[in-house]
Amino acid sequence: MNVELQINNSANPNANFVTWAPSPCRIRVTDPTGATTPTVSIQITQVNVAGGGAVRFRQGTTGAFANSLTLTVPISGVSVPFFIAGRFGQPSSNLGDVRIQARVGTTLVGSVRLMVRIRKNAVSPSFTAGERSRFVSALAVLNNQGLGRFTDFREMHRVPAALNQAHGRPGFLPWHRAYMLDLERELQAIDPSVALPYWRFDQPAPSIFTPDFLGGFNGTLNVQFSANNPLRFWRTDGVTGILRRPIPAFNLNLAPPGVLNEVGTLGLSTSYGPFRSNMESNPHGRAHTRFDTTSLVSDVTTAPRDPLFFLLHCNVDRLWAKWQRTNNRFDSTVPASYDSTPSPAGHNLPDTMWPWNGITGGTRPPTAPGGTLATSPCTTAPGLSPRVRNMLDYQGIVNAAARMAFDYDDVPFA
Amino acid sequence: MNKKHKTVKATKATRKPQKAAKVSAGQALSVATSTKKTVMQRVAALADMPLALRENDENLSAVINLLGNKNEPAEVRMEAVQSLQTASFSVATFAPYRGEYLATLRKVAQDPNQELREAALGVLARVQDGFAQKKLIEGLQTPDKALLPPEQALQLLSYDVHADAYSVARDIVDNPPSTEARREALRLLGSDTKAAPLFEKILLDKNEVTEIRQLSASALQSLNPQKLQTHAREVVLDPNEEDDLQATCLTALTHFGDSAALAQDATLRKRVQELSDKAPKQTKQGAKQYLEKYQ
Amino acid sequence: MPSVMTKVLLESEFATLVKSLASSPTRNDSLLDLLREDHPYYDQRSAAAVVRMRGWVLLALARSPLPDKALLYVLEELDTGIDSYLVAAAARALRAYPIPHASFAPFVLRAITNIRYQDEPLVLERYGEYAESLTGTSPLGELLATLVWLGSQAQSVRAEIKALRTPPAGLAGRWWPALDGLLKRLPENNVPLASDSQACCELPSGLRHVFPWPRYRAEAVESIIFEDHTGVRLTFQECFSGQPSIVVFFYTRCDNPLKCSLTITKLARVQKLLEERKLSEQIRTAAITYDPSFDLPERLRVYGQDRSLTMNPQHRMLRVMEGNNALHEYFKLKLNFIESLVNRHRIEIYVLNADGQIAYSFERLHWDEVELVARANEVLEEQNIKPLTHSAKPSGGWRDTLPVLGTLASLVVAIFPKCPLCWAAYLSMFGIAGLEQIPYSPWLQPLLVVVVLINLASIWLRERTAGGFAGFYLATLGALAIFASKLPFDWKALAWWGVGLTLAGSLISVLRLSVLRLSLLLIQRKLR
Repeated sequence: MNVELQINNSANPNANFVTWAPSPCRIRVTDPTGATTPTVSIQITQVNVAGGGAVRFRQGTTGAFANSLTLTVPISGVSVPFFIAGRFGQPSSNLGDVRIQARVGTTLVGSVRLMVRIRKNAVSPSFTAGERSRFVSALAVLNNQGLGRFTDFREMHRVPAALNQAHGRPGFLPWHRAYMLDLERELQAIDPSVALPYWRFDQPAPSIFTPDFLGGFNGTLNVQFSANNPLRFWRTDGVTGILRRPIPAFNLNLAPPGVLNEVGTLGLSTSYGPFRSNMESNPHGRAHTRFDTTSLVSDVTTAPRDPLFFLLHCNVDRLWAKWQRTNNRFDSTVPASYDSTPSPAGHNLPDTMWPWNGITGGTRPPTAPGGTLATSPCTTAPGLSPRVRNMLDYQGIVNAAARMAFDYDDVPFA
Repeated sequence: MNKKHKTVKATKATRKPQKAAKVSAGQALSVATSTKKTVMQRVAALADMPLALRENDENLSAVINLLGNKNEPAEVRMEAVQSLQTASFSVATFAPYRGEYLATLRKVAQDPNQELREAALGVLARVQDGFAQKKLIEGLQTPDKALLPPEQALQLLSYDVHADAYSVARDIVDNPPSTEARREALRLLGSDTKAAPLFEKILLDKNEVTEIRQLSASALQSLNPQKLQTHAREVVLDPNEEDDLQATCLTALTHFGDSAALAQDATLRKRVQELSDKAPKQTKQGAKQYLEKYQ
Repeated sequence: MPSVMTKVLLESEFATLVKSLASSPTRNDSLLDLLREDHPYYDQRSAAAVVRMRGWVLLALARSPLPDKALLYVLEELDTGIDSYLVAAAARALRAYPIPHASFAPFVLRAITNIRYQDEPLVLERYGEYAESLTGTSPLGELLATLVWLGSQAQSVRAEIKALRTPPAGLAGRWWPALDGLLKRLPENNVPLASDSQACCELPSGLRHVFPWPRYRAEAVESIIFEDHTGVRLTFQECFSGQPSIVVFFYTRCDNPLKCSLTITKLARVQKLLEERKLSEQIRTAAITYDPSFDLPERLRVYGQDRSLTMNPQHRMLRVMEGNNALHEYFKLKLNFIESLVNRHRIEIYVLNADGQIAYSFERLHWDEVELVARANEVLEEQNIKPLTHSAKPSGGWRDTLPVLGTLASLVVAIFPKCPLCWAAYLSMFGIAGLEQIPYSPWLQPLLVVVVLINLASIWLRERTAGGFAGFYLATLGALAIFASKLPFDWKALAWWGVGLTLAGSLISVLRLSVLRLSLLLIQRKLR
């Protein structure tokens, strides 16, 4: 007998990724040879792999998760649904480092490899050397010395008309969530094992600012890369290199000074309006300006030219996710989940977001670089041209179909 | 003008992770602008400001005035720049003050304090301000008028490929005042298509320092990728080449090379195999990455 | 097309030159000449220097009534400018136009949209000076002053002005008094008349940005070799013969998103329109880079791809490998360089016929995708009606420019079949009279002057044979009237008097000669 296990209800191996939020899966008998009854009882368990991630199972959309699951599966080939979620605190580090087996009695009838792909703190050891290497490689390929798809991401965050779609108003957090997700999915198209790491800018993170990762600082404005770091070929706006220098008060072995810490940020308000407007300034703006004014990352028009920008904003998004978790702010119909003060186009809950909506001219920028939002084999959310309201329920808490297939290492599912 | 002033040190107040600010913008501003308070107190108040700036946008004008006031301590003015840069991320809110900010920065760009000059020119260069470009180029041509050391001026000029900096950068490459200036001049020329032969020459010159040859490899990869791929292969095959340069060339081949051609290149693969067995760490890692892709 | 010319003129000298030109009798033509992007003075200057120089010229033009010929440059800056200084100078220059026109209002509004987040204090009084305080003007200040100057002519954009006054998306409070004052002058319920609403969307009479071309194909284009986005090499003939083409120019390092980036984005929309109208297999598109040494095939491909451009053998992105000068000369490209990099260019879009001859150009201002496709379709239909033949010389037909005069010219040819030289001369008269309506007239002017002189000489010879010089005197008077019409005064009507006198003079001379020849013939027959 043989069974097929489909993760995220897909036969595509690139869909074999889960997060803390439960992924819909299914099992079906593909070869009933040896079966004597119309249904068989199949047990699904995880086989431990040293250093690998861990998952849990449950049969329905609700209920407790367990380490194994027994399902009654018809031999007719009809699929039986179930759910897999990563075990919080045990993310994967490598592609396919989780192995799931299906057994009838003691007989192995099917197996699949998958990965608990989670956005992690970019500092070592939680972010391994392998993860770091795969991340910078994918980023370098996406940039392709200024020739790659990365130019779209640079263009999206450049001119004032574009920046007004993304900054200074309620849409700041949803827009950047879509922006991060778009980039992450492009990176995953290059290397599916990559998840965007984040820079916890309220903690020391010396291992990020090294020649092997995002560039070492040796007193000059241009950061230094090791000989085999492909980011040494990083090129934006026609210029090779990354200009980044911490302000004198920022010792890279310590947390950057003057940046509101996580507790302070989460305590800013329980309502989205004041939370967003304050956190956009500090810690977000403050984190950008912990590098001096000659650095790319410290100016809104040039910041995405430095890859650090994406780690910084990944953390901004994590803080929002954590605030959402703390205050249960996933439901866009709950007033405190968003700021419903009438705002310019792109910032109101029902608005589509530029540039993914392709709308140009009028109240939107003159061009819309990059086309629609990148798709994922793991989910259809938030869609090709998401609306602001689509970006809130990233774990699919209110609506399971809204799950965006990303999670943070320290923000659990319910 | 080049005399380096005392670097603004991290204060206890700025090192300490901030809790949610409870002070109002008015309170923070009155401390920040008060000459009766200590520098440390004023800097700390400014550090709190961004959180409160939005309560009254007129506060931005007050902070801009603080930045432009030569009588204020440099530490306070530096913190003012950081606060204003933070505020500038809210493009629409900041827009009415942008003009005042830029005009003030042009004044500050000529301040006796080098750190303040750097800060001001950094912001101006990034918005491709004609004033800043003119001053920086003037300084490179006439060192007596230089507002910044040449390597910094070149770095800031690289923010605009349309700045008239190539000819002065070429002069610096020919007659460098320092190795740093030469390196930055070369980096700037990395976007000048005419400079491809220069980078090719440097890459192949074993008398050049490795860092400059590596920089040339990056520039050539962009200006003439085919040439770089050819030379990268030669460098990897050459047993007498620098280890770090070989690692850089392997990285170029692995990530940006012609996959079809490299997959067929048995000679190169054999050599990379050797390097993956017995080479210094960086080269070994580069070799392994190459083999993972092309084996 | 980088020039080898070195910087012979310091910026300070340029400023002095502009000042002196501004007070010369030929001020307008001289200053306008300095607005040509390909003027040698801009060669090898930084983009910032070009901004300073062009802004200074616009400000010089603003000190006297703005001539019609300068309008296109001023509106171009308002339409696509992103530099504070140039936009402010253009706004000020527009206020120097003799009368406010409703068609200006959308341009001023666009400029406000483009520049509102980049407002900064400016010094417009002294060359090259940058503001170090808030005193003085700013682009928003200048643009709002221009809106106020437009007054009731801004009625068509009242809603947009109201939006500028409305928080949170509107302008800052310091601009509200000006906006309030203006809104008071624009009645809320005043629906523009049909004629007014049309006026708001059209350029002032005599001004346009779409130009028909004398269709010809220079021999030099045969030397042009392109490389496309896939690295395939092609001749000009291979790219542009056999089918009409839409050609746009751009470069990937352009930092004005309202120019190159938008041009390629719009070209993608043009491709969609062609597709919808089932024309994409009959009309080609091509995007040619100004920066061929930097824009390698992969760069072209990625740039196009990022802007949803369709790329295949019918629709290509190109860089020139050989014959760069011929390319620039053929399309009369208006741009300049710093090293190999463009420091300033205008918007340049072309429609080529199936012979690779330029039929239309769209220049400087933003163009309409539907109109561009319509022009290309027109050219396609012409080709279907009458197969085109390859011509290496100007065909001489400025059909759309001067249709009535074209008919008259034919009449003249019909009347005087034995005088081809005169025929050319008459055409030249019309040509000179209407030169400002023809693109790139500066290169035609000397040629046409020569032809006028030849015409006069031929009339003189005929009159000498026929006896009596009345025709010659009339034609001479006509030529003088045409030349006088070109002087910097408002004497344009003289051109048409000149044409009439020239025709009359030529008619008299030829009729007298014909009568003489007829008499001689009759005498000869009688003698036989």
